[in-house]
Amino acid sequence: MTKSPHIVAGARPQPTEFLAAFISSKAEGVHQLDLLVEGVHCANCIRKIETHLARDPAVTHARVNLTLRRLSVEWRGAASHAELIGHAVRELGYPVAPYDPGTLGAATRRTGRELLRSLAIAGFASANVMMLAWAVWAGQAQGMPASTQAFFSWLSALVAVPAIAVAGRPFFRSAFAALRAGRTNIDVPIVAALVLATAISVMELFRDQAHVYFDSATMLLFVLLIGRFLDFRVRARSREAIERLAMMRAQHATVLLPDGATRTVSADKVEPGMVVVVGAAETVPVDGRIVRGETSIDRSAVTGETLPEDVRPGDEVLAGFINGPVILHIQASKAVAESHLSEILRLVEHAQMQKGRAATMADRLSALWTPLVHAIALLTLAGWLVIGRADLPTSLLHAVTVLIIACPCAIGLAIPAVQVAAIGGLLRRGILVRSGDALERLATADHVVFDKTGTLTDGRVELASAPEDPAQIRIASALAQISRHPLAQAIAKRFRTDLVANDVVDVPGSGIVASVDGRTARLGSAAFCEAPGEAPDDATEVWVASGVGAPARFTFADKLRPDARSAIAYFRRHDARISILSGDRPGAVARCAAELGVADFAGGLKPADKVRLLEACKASGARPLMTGDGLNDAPALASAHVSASFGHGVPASQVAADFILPGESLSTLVLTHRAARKAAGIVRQNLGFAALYNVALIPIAVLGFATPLIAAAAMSASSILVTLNALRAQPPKAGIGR
Amino acid sequence: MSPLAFLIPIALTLGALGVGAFLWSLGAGQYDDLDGAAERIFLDDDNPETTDDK
Repeated sequence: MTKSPHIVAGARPQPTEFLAAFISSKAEGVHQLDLLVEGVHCANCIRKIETHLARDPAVTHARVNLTLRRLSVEWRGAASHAELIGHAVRELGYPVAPYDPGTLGAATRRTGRELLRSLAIAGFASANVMMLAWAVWAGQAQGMPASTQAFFSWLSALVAVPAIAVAGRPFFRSAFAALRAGRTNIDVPIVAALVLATAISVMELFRDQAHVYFDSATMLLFVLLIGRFLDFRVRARSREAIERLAMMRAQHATVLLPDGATRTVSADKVEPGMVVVVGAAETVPVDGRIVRGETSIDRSAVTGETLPEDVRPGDEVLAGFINGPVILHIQASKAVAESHLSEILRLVEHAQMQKGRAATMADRLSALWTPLVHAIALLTLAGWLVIGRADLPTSLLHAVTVLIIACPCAIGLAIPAVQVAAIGGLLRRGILVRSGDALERLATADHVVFDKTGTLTDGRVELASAPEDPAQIRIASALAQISRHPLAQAIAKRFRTDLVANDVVDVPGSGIVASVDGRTARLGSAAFCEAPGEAPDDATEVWVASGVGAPARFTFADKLRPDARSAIAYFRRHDARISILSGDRPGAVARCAAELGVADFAGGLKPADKVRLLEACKASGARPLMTGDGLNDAPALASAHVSASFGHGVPASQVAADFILPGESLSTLVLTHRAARKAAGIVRQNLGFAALYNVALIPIAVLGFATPLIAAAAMSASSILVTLNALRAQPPKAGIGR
Repeated sequence: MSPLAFLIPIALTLGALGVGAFLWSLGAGQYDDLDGAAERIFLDDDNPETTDDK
């Protein structure tokens, strides 16, 4: 606990009684805590953390998981020891945050284990059944006695049937769930082929026939499980990274207790009526009303406005605003929270509901494919019975062979394999992809909508023009050096001076007055400096009045990101329309658009306006890609065809976006788009190949020439080819290419 | 024929043992931290007193 005088003096309070909320207590006096640890990447980091914690006699177990960058600690004694442990790791130079697994984490873990277990069983079964099948095929050529062939086939059945029953469960479950809901998905034809192939093979065994397909069935299962497992793993890793981003930035709030002491708690534990202390340049953790302190506050993350606003006691502030140079006391108020953030979240939810789950390419194809293949199989059955005058078992066998040959192995493997290669490659570059079909949607986007602040610009302003008189610049610079206002800082950064300003008076909302070189000088708004006449344009401006000549004017412009121009040029080359939708003042947006040569722009938009414009754009048949980072962009991100946000963006915008781009650059958006287009091309190739393969082999199966050997050879050849082709879907090299 | 009658069951049993061992190692969490396992091989744990000074 820290007494409030220290807070006012600017000491940063230690986060106390914060980690304790995430402890799971086992037996009496034994506690366990999972911490996310940033910056661990080698054996030395593991050693430093583990040996340091091992010296603490209370700690019974400490282990770093380098893959997940997580630390698991167990200790005996008081629960509050958690803070000491967290502090110890921080002291070693590794930032920590509590890991909050939620319910999703456990379910993901269970699914991953089940898939890996199924994969092992299917792998074992397919290897051994294939070994037995080769013996039979070779035996057929060399005159192996029928009894030995039957013995081998029975052994295959002994391995394959239980293996399919156990390892096929992920597919069975998904297919039955779809059928019960009256839909079909990609798993329905897979399960049909698996079950029928096994059943028909068992039937053939009892009839003492040589046509058993256990090898094809187990191999099919193994190959599909590989696709499913890779797909699961890359998704789990992306989601993990996205959740980690949110957890590392979990907001803490310093609550002022009635006795004057302060306590750090998790931001969502702050209740209405509590007073929260926000230090200089800290992010406001909760919505509320200012009770003490007067400052200019940076709203860019929430509203998209670049210029800070002056606030005083009684004004409302929102979570995500960044405090100016003073300490603010804010009284949390539920009314404020309900009015703003919940409005945003309502819009996001509404947009997501409107959009629904877009049908993926695999779903669309299997909706087309399943009825077609099953119809061909039925026709085969009827044809062999009626025209070929075969007996029922033989006709059934040929019909099932059609299903085995036409099983959508290429769809089941080709699309996930491409997505895994592309998403995995993007992940290594720090780009997080929420779902595989996001890549499909990005590849088809034809209208790129940018937010301005934080997306095209980096949220700062830079000096555009300055007075001509060097004396005035020197005086302005002397005044600017002592101000914390961002416009003044932009001046001070450009012009250095050795003049010193004395007797400084800060007039909030207007500017500063000080004595420079024996004269009284002012730096601030036009009215404050008694500037003559109307301003020539509506540019962001600061005036200086020093008694040396007339008051003179500095103007400012948003600082564009260095790669904004090349990113826009890239999308132009791909015939995409470019728009800018911003919450900032229309004048600032117009200047930014003019500088980038973008004709289509709108400023002063509320979150709901952005959604309305995007909906109108979608209604006209366009497929917009929305890029933005602010809270005001979140509903638009959710309603767009496909959307991207930034790692530094607010959590709400990250939750709504399909892609989360790292760092301060737009070139990653270009890279992602190129990777998506490349992946879409390879998916098309793979599907074309699958179609070709089916057109060639289904007639063979229909006519009854597809022996188990042909089925196995065709299936493995197509799977290998498709997978090798998918490996090419790695994202292209960095930089802005064609 | 007669050697096959016991050789093949033996082969299958050995294979099944392999799968069993894999499933056990999976359950025991040996695949939970593959990157960590690769790095931990560099840690000397025979002299824990001096490992923390760097």
